[in-house]
Amino acid sequence: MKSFDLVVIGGGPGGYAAAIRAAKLGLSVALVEGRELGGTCLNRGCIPSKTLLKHAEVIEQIKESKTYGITVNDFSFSIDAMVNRKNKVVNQLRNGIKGLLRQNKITLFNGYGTVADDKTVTISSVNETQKIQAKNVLLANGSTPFVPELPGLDTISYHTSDTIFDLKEVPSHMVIVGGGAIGLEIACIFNSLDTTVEIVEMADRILPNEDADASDYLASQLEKNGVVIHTNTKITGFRNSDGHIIVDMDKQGKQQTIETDSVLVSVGRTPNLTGIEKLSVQFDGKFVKVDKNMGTSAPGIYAVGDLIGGYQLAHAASDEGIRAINHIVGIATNKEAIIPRCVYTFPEIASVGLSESDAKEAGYAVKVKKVDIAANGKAIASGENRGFMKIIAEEKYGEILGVVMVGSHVTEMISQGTSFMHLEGTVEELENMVFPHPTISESLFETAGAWLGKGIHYS
Amino acid sequence: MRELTYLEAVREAMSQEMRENDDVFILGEDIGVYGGAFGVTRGMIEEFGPERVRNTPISESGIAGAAVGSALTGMRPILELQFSDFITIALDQIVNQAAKLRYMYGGKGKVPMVLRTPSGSGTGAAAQHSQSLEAWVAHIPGLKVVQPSTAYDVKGLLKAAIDDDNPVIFYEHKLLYKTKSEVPVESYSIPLGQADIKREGTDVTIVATAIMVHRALEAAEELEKDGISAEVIDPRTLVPLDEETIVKSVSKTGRAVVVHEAVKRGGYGGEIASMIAESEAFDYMDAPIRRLGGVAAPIPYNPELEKSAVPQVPDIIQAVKDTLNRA
Amino acid sequence: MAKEVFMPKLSSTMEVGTLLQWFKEEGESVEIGEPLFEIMTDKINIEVESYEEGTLLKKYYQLDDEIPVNTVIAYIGEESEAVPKDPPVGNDQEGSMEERESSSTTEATETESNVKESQSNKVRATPSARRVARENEISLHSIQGSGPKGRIQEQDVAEMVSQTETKLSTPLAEKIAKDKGINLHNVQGTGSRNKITKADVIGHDTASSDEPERIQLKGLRKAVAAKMLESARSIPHVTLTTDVDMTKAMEMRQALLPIIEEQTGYRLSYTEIIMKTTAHVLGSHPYVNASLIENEIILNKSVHLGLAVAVENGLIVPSIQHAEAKGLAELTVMSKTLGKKARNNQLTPEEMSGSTFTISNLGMYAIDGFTPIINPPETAILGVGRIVRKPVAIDNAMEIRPMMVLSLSFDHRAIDGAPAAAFLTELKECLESPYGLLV
Repeated sequence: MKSFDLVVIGGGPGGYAAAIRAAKLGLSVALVEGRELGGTCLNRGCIPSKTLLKHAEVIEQIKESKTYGITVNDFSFSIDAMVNRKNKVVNQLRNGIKGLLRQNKITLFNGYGTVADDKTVTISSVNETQKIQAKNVLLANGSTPFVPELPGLDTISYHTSDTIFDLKEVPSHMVIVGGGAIGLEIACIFNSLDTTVEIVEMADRILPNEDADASDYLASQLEKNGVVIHTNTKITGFRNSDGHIIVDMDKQGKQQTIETDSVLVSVGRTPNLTGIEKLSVQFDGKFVKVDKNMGTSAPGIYAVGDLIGGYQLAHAASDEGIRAINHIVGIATNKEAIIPRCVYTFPEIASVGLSESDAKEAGYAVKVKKVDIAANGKAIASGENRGFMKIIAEEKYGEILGVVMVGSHVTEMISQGTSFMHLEGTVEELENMVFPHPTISESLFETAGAWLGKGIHYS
Repeated sequence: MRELTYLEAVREAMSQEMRENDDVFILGEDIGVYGGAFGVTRGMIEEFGPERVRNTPISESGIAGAAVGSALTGMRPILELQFSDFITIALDQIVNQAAKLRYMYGGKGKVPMVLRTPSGSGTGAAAQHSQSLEAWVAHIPGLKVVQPSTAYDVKGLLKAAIDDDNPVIFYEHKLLYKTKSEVPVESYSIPLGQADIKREGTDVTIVATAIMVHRALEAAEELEKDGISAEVIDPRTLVPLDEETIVKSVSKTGRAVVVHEAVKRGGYGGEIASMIAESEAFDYMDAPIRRLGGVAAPIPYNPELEKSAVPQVPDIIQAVKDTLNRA
Repeated sequence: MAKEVFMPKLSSTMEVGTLLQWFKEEGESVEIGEPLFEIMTDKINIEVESYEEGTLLKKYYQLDDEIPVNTVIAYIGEESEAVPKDPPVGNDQEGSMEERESSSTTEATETESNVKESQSNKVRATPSARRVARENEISLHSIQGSGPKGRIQEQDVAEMVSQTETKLSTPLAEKIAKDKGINLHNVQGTGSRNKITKADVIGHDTASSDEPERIQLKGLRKAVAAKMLESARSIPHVTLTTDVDMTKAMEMRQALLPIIEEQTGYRLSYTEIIMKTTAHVLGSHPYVNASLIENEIILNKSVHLGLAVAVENGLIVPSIQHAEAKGLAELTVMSKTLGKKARNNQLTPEEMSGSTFTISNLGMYAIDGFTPIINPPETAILGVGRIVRKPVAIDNAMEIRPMMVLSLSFDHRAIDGAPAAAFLTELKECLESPYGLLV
């Protein structure tokens, strides 16, 4: 039986990043993946959605070209060609990971791994079954779209994020169940492809876990673009009728129906427990329970990513994976990770740290400043002056507790906020720093100035 | 390597030199068949004959005068005084003739002679046979002064002294005669004016001469047990003095203890201490320089009193600790 | 001829004074009686007035210098009059030989380049320590020497250098440390390259808050400690207590309060009534108003009442001279102003000495009786408790009366139980029928 210092189950961003770091630190590493390398993120999540969102953005720009004095007489698009390009992007990245694994001498097993308490891993693929021995196991199984038991759902055909990016035809109408990040990004894609999109959300607002100002702002922008949003609304049933799907729902006590030709279910993700059913690790709800070093209740077995809940973000999984490896090799990780969160809608939403209410609940004396980017020079010039920036900081020391950004390109700018938090800079240092002009990022500087009561353009 | 005693090393140095160089001869009281007061020249008369191993009358002044005269004629005499205390009788020849002539003849004449003589206390030889008067001769321009502490050093330094064209006062310590160390068979020379770091250390520099080198090394061993790292420097020659080695060491350690057997008052330690204080080592000094020397009294005959009249190992340890504020 | 200004000796125990403040600059003119400088002794802070008039020619010491008593610290004289560059040595007329010797050795180590600094305190340091200090631009004055006689060694300077070396820390960590008064030098950083983070500072703060706080006994606290120990150890204390019915005293206070307040602006309190009564009764009990000094019991003719005042960091006893001759209005004014001065550290030495009997009042707390410690060389002290309404038997009936406990500690070497008891009894009776004071 082959033996490895570390066997990683799952080749997504949690698993492969950890595998490479472990190999770089001198461990012998095996990676077990039953499907394609890159996991949900690369194959059925972040990357496909970002690719199609870029397509949508191009379409939006063509539609708006008149504003810039450019006339585009006619344009059309092909969903096949778009999906093709998406597949190319995915392939390129997948090959990149494969190359990295090879370069770092990581043994890749194609097959599904079943982990036993003695840290043996049985890998079954179509042709054969083999067993390997691990000193340490990292479970990075990931997750699958969660499909709730809604009446009639089993009678209709519906999409999840697993299937939506391989669509053959653009539907004319789409009902999206769930107003979270995944549903909203897909709503933006199809909104640009001229699909009539209706979003059904049970909570009182879309993105219920995000900053309320951000979600309100996004809702108003989406509605302006023709997306219909039903909040406080519960699906009561699905029916097939005459080649269409009828969605029955209860909107704040009122019964309503929507007729549609496609349904996307995006109400969250559920951990993938394949291969660890027999493992005696403890669970926390439906997630695997871990300590701060990502150790499960079974010694030598670690778990990261969507399997353990938390943010369920690719970069969170990667960070968790690296923490686990650090613990295996005995490197202390002292600081808790500050995980930024990005929603790639039009406009984008990016945030990091605590929300205002969380900060207050944590006992901080909180002072919040929000500055609109409506008057930002670069943003106006680009026709992208929609959105705002917000700093949530502790009043006494100016410790930056959270940053929220809404607008174009903010997912590229949030790291500035993360940097300050990570390096423990305060609002004063942020305000002291020189920002280039004209940039949209200046708005963060303006926000810091306003927070301190000495803003130039805002107070 | 074979070991020789200090005494044998002196004899070997002289014999090897006499075999090589016909100009070299020795003279002194009872150095012939008797072999000298301490037996240094024993057996030499058998090899070199009475012409080159010359017994003299009991007159240190006469011995010295004869040596000066023969040196001026081109010979390289080695004269032996039985006890260094008796140098007082020879001093007119040494100070007023040997030291001055090369200068006064404008370099046309020179006095290549070596005055060997045993010094120091510890043998129960009482006040007139136990002194350490090296500072007297070190004061006289024109004389070189050597104080070897080991058999190895004594052989090499004696060769250098014989080869030197100036009068050299060569002090042999009575208690060191029986000490042994590895000595090469072949002839070799240790340049005059080159100090030897007998032990490396970082916390304090002990500058010690003659018998005190050994006491300092013993003290350093003890100090190491207390975590104190002492560097022991043996200047080997007082004139010329290897200032550079001492200054470098003190600059490193920041502390200096100077130890000699001679009476502290007016002793050569004062010269060394002053030299350090005047040097660039000053800025590195982290404690006052300490001097250890004999008490200002004649050396007593009583063995216990004799010991207590000159620095012993515990005295050195204490002085080092004082400079380190570790008393 | 210029006149010396000395560090005054303000009490028998004072050996050094710490210079807190100069009120005059060199070259300024000084009048007799003008405050010249302020010093702190082991007991008090006090402004010292000038005994001379003229120009302040030379100041030899700087703030926070500790200066032995009777040392020349300045000269006053005619403008442009010559005075010594350095403070005259050996001017401590009462100083010991040792002190003289040490001050002259200090003199010898003076370096010319540093005349200004060295005038106040010359630094004893090894050449190597000086070199390292020079190289690192550190003042030797800021360094505590570990060598003999406080000599600054190279190691001492090196430690100071490493202390002043900047440690990496995040801006937030710095702010929090500054706010909480934490020296970042003592904090271990856990960030990249040992950078100190917020968590390190907070961790350090909580860790060090478990440590008990340690306060050096010094200044007033040390003086109080020594005096209390001396008293408790050498005086055989006996404490008597008695209950006093304060009904009449309360009536009297009610009646006199508006009158005295109008007259003086101060409100009459029970303390003054008790003082007045005590001074009155002491007149007929000279043994209780006595001082015991060595083998003599000194029966004091006048009553100088000490009043224990709690101040920050200790206890001070200002004294009211000839209390027996003062009326309640005057006593009120005096006790209030002295109490205030005591709390503000403004008492003069005269105001703090010479008491013959002390009153310690804890009546503002929920305290009844206690065992006060005698303020030597006095031989007795009166402890005053709170006034509390209590049921008492009056002529076979239960009545609620305002009652107060008096505790008298006395020195049994000077006073026996019977005379002490007689004094306390008469005091009680007098307080219970205070109009007797008028007689």
